[in-house]
Amino acid sequence: FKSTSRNKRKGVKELGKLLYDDTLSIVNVAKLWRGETIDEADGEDEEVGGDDDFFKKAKNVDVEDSTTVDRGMPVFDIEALERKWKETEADMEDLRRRFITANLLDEQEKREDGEDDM
Amino acid sequence: MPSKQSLSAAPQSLTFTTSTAFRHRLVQATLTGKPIRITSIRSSSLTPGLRPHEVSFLRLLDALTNGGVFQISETGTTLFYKPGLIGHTPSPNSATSSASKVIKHVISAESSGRGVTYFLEPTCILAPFSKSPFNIIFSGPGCVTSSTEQDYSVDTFRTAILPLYSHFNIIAKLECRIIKRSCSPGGGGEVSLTFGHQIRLPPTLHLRNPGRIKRIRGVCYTVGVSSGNNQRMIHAAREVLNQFINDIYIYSETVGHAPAAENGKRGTPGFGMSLVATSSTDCLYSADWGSSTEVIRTPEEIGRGCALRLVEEILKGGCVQRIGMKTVVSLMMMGSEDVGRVVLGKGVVEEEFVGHLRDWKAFGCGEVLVKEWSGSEGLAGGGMGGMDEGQLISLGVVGKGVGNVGRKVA
Repeated sequence: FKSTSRNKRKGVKELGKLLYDDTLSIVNVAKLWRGETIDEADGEDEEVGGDDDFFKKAKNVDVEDSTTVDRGMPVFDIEALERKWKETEADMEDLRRRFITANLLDEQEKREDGEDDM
Repeated sequence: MPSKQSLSAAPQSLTFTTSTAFRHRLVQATLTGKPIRITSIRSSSLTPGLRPHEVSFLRLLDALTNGGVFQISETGTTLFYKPGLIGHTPSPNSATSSASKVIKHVISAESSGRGVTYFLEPTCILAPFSKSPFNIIFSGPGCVTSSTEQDYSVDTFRTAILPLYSHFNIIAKLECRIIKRSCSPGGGGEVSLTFGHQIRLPPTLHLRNPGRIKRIRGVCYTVGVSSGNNQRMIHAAREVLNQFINDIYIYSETVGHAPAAENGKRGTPGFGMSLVATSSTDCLYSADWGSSTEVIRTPEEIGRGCALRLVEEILKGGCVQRIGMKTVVSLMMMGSEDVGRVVLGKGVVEEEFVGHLRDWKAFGCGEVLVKEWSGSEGLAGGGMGGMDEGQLISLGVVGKGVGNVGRKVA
């Protein structure tokens, strides 16, 4: 049952611990933080195909290299951005609020409404 | 993976593995003065060891410091680095001419896969802690000023990374100029960097209000292709951005011919765009995209894609965007022994960021404190720049107070 609890999106309080948890690789910390599932079966999978022992080594060569690139520019999935742009109308509203041209009165009302609900 | 201290062999040196965060580990070592050993650098790769651009970075580091020791194993998979003092001392023979104070870093053609910002970013983190001002000219067949798949362009560096230093009151005599533009692969560009503001300790940073975007600036460039491409890129980018704000200026630059490659061949032509959004509190978000020789894209795709990237970066929010994090965290770590705070968007927490924080811990600079950010902390309503409370975290960094060792106390 441990893996199910690990799949949940982590709260900020947990992030402080996750950041310096040496049992988790940095890739997994980022995945947990984003709420993605991590494959804990990584190590176990290797054991399954006993016959392929001979070919196994080469498989890791590229994988290791791709995770250790010292990048300057963040990775963007431009197709995903395009889809996101087209699909989400609500997102646009979020975005509009990030600009000085946003209507501050509306936002204030919204915030007050939100507080009333609580 | 970060690092355990190897107690047996050399008590003082830290050990890291793989080429992950190569540049920043070297920078961290130099700033803290701790020797490091990096092992198994691409040891299982078909091309093992250090890559040309990494060796080039080591050469640059050697030129920028005095008395450093670099030992690379025969296969190139192990590196031992004992940092020296930061600061370039011109050789005594040529001390009379001012030209000798300029470091000329020539980048070889083999490392033209990476942009020149690969060198610029870490260099500037070292610069405030130097004994003497940095004057560097980057050139050579591997000097790429446009953005590549892995590096942002020099335009973005100039407009989105250099201004970050103003948060730390490092403002005087900073200049980055593109003398010759070039595209990847091929290079032949030329960039000059002047970093003349040296400090003893960076002040404690309190960056808590991301503000709202007040303007967008940009640069788009064509190198060796029709300048009409600039207009096409700008048009496509504006299609996305115009609905949010009016204050958009995108400058266009046209270079008639790409710098010739070595052996007199034609250089790589190309085009690209860099956009920077500035908030009311001077927080910056930037995006960058350029043409590539592997995938053919139209100027419209580049312009639109660049605008979408900018929008994505703005949506992630916070006071510091992803590409600026390492610079800001590094300077905060070097600051005086006080808790500095910076508010970040949740989306900023990524692999490299986590790795960077772990590396700092390995260098003995402690852990950062993460807190949920609520805007009520000393700010009037709406102070979060239109972001919901749940989207922001507050990062507390305790400075180590190492600061500038070489600088004389006034």
